[in-house]
Amino acid sequence: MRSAGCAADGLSLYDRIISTDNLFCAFYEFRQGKRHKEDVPEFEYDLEKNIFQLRRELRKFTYEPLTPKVFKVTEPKPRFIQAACVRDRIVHRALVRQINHFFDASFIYDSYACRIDKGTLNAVKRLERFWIKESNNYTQKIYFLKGI
Amino acid sequence: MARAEHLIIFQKVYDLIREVYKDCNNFPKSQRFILGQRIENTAVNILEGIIVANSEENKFSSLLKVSVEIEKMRIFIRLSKDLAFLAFKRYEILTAKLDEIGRMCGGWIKSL
Repeated sequence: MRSAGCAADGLSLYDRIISTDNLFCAFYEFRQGKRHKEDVPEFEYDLEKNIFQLRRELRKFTYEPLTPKVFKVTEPKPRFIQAACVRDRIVHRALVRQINHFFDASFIYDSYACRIDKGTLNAVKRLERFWIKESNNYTQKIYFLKGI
Repeated sequence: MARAEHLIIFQKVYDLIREVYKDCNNFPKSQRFILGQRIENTAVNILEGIIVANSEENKFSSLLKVSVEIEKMRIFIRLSKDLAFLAFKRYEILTAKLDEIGRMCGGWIKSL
């Protein structure tokens, strides 16, 4: 499998995003850690069929994301979760694979969503560091502002 | 008598078999006559099924068999890619062809 394509291959960015190569790689990246979850096995059984179908839709610009599944969780606090289906998440991965390197450098350091070497755990660690620092080792009252 | 559109699927399967035979020859020797042979047989079964369906009065059952064989074939090819018997590029080409055949077969079944 090749990694994300180089600019010298004469393909437009969109062509590279919807190349079968990229879509397959996107699927395998997406699958990590959730092989046996929910609808992943279902998608994987007809993997090629689904990928080619997705590619046709993307190529003809008829692709539309499906309505996400909405459910409520109460742990750690009540909130609504919108879960996109496998197919849409693959499109997301395929997109990120190709455009990430354009944007990654322009993000601030403390943006943690969908970036290499970032993620929730690192965000929590970083928060904790600030927390200790600003509260003088948990002795002072401090406030958090939560952005969405 | 076979209709022209059903000859196209015949041709596609025929071409696929030619490709598949080439790739199976490149399988490692230990697998050439196990998974390799299995893939070849499945491919020939698909072709056979198409021929039977083209000449038969009751096409439905043989076409269902064909679609099962196509399904099998897809899994076998995926398996050989995951076992590194098959290069990713070849896998892409073969599955693209197979997908097209699968859709044509599905269309044929629906048209009955």
